[in-house]
Amino acid sequence: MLSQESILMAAFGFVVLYGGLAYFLMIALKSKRR
Amino acid sequence: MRGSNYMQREIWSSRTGFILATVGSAVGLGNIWRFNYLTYENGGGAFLIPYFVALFTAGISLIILELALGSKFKGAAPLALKRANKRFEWIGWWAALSGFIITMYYVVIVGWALIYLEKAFVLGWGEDANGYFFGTVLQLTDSAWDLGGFPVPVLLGAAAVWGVTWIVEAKGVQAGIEKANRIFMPLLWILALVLVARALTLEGAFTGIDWYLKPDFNRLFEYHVWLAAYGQIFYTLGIGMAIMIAYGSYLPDGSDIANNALIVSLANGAFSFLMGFAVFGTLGYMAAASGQGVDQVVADGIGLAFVVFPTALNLLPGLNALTAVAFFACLVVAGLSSLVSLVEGFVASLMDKFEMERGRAVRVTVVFGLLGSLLYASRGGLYWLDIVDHFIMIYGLLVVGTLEAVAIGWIFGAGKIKEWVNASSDVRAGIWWDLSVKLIVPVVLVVLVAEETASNLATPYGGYPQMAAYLGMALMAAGIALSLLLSMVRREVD
Repeated sequence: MLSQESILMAAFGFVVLYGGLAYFLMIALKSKRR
Repeated sequence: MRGSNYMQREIWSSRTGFILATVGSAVGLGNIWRFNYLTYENGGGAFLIPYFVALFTAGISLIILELALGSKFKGAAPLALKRANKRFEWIGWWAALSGFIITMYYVVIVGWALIYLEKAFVLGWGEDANGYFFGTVLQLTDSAWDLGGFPVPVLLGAAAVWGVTWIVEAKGVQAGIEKANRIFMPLLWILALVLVARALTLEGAFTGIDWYLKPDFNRLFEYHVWLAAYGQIFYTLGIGMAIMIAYGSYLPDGSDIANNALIVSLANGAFSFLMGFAVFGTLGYMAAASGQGVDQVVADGIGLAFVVFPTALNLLPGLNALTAVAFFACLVVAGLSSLVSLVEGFVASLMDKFEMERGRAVRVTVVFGLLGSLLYASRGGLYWLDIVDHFIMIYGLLVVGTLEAVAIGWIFGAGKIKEWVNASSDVRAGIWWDLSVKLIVPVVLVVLVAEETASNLATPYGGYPQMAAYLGMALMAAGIALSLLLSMVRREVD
C-alpha cells in the first residue's frame, strides 16, 4: 500500500505542478495577449 | 515561403497553437522513461524538491531567454544570436547542429516504437521480450565496430518516421507544426490517462508507486542528487537545441513570453509526474506477479520501454493489448511531436542563413538526416546511439546552454532581454531572472560539464573501447568546427 509519506509527496507534486499550471493558464485566459 | 530576410516570417495562428506546439516539443521520450526513474533513484518524492528548485531557478529562465531571443530578433538560433552579437552566431549553429544530430538517432528510436505499436495488438514480442528486442528487432552485433547491415523493419520504421516528419515540416508553422500538435497533444494526455487508470487498477500498483514516491530526505544533502535534478531540467525542456529560439521567432510582436514559458515548463513537469504513476504502478504489478521486488524489475530508457514494459504487458491480468497499444502509441506521439520541433530548429536555421524556401530546407534536412540515421538503424547502431547521445547531451546541450547564458547574460546584457520580455508578459521577469541567467545557470552547467568530462577521462564511457569514446569526442569537435565555419559564411542581407 501507499505510505502516508508517499501520499503527501504525491499531493505536493500535484499541487505544485497542476496547481501552478492551472494558475498560469488562468492568467493566460484572462489576458488579451497572444 | 522564403527565409526571414525578404519575405514575411511565418507566425503562430494563436496562443493555444503555440503553447500546444511548445509543450509537444518539451514532452518527449524522457518524460516517459527518464523522469520517474531519476525520481526513484534520487530520493523518491524528496527529489521533487531539487527538481522544482531547478525548474524555477534554471529551466524556466532559460526557456524565457530562448523564446525572447527568437521573438526579439526574429530569427532561428544562428540568426537571432548573430543579431545579438556577430560573434555569437556559431553558438546558434552548434545548437541547431546538436538538435540535428539528436534527430538522426531519435528518429530510429521512434521507429522502434512504431514497430512495437504494430506488434502491440497481439503482444507480438512473445515471452522473451529481451531476446525479441536485441535479437529479433535490432539483431545487435557484438561490437560498435561491426555495423552488420540493416534489419529491414528498423530501416522501414526510421524511414516512416522521417516521412511523417517531412510531411508535417513541409506544411509549415500553422498548417504543419501547429495542426499536428493540436492532434498530438490531446491524444498524448488521453493515452497517459488511460495508462495511469490501467496501472492503478492493478494489484501491487500502489507498492510500485510507493517505490516511486517514498521520500528519503537525507538524499537532499547529496550534491549529485541536485546535479541530477538540474541535468534533467535541461534535458527535458528542449533547451540548447535551437528549438525554442525558432519557436519564439514565430511569435507575433506583443506575445506573452514569461507566462507562456511557465505554462510550458509546468505542463512538461506535470506530464512527467503523471507518467510516473503509470510506469511505477505497472512495475509494482509486474514485481508482485513475478515474486520480485520493484528494485529488481525497475529500469529506465530503452530498457524500460522495449524490454521491461513488454514483459510487464505480457503479465497483465487483462486488457493487455489495449494497454500495450496505449503505451507504444504514447511513445510514438511523444517522440513525433518532439522530432518535429527538433527538425524545425534546424530547418529554420537553414532558411534564415541560405534564404531557402521551406520545402527545399526540409528536403535537404530529411535527405541528410535519413543518411545519418542509417548509422543508428544498422545492426551495430545501438552502440553508436548510446555513445553519441552521451556526448551530445554534454558537449551539445549543456555547452550551448552555458554559452547562451554567458553570451546574453554577461556580454549582450540580460537587461535588454528582460526589458523585451516584461514589455509584453503578464508575469514579470524580476531580479530572479538575472540571477538565474547570469549566475545559477552558468555555474551549474559548468559543474555538470566538468563532472562528466572528468568521469569520461577516468573511465571510457559505458565500457566502450577508448577509440569509440574518442570518436564521440571527435564528432563533437567536428560539429563545433562546422558551426564556426557556417558562422563565417556571409549570406544574409544583414
